[in-house]
Amino acid sequence: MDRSQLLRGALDAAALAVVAERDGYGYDVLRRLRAAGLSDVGDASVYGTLRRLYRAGALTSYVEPSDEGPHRRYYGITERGRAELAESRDVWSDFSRTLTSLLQTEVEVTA
Amino acid sequence: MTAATADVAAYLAAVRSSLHDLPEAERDDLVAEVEASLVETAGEGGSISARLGPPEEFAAELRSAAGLHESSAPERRPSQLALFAQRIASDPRGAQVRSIARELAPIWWVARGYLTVGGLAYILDANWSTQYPVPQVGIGGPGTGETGLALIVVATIVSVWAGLWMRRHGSPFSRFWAVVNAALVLAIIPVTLDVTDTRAQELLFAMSYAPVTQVTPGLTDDGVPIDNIYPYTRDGKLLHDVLLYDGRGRPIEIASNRGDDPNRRFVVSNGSRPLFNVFPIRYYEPGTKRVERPNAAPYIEHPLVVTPPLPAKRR
Repeated sequence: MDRSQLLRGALDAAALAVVAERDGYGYDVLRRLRAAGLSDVGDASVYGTLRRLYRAGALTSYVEPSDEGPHRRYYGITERGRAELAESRDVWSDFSRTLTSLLQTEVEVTA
Repeated sequence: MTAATADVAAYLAAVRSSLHDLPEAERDDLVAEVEASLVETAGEGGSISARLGPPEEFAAELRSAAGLHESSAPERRPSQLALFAQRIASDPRGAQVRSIARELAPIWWVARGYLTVGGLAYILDANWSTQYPVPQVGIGGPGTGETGLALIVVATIVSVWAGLWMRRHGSPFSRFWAVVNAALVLAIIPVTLDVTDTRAQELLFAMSYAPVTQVTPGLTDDGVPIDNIYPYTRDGKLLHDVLLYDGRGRPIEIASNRGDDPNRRFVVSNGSRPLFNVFPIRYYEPGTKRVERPNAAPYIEHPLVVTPPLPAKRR
């Protein structure tokens, strides 16, 4: 199973979870996702996802000057983002529970 | 510029070019997002392409994650000119110029509206108002400055609106609009020439046709010279040798044949000064000092006067 394909569907939830914990700018969110174990998450996927969530109103955004280089655009979670995150949480736990039991059954059958 | 930041600039330019079809604001935000992290990781060593993959792929992933439509146009290799433009665009000084240009853009939007109508007038060879820099444009009729002005107002509103709209949403046919804008910039030349030419013509006109107010000498009625006056009393009796004066006491004189007609019967004052305000003017029989028909008058239909006469002061 291709991990990156799984990630594609779950990245919204993952990014929302990271930002919900603490506001962050693009690279910061990426780093925290990787630190959490999503080592193969792509830079472009994260930046694109953040922009899309922002456009959809799940994230808010503000700019802070940075000592080195360009300004950093920080993202924070909105009420809508929280609701989306809660929903994702339910969907994911339900889905993973189902799939876990399904895969375990399957393994027993083929074994 | 260090090697690392040059690397960043080149990579960003390539990403930007792959996103060329996106609305400007969206593209700017996406690229800014990438830029911040690239600058942060520039010191980590290794080429950016090695770490992030080719910029085109990076841009495609960025686009798809951001939920922005894939450009339907086939991938085009950017031309040398486009690459050069990108290099300028990614230069910080270029960014400064662009931000100034962005702020000044509304002035251009307004000018663009005027130039559209002016250019149209030039193409249609319309006349320009001599008083105002407004072309006299007619829609299915003779051109008027009012129509020209109305068109300018409408064109300006549309232009500003379009500018705002495109700033927000990006321009759908950016190449087409670039050509239109360039054409309108060029239109400055003929329009300016037309306007100044009109001014010059007006000046010439003013000089050659200076309002020499054509004063018809003597007595006139609606500009038509009066050659004689026949005064009648209210009961229809023709008067002779009536002296006429205007409201300021100036004698009302008839210019024609003022003194050079030998047959004119001049009424002379006691200082043998001829009076020119005596009516009706009478003419002698040629070679004599005799008026043949002193009561001659044009045919008139004498009206029946019903207004009571003013009380005559009796001595």
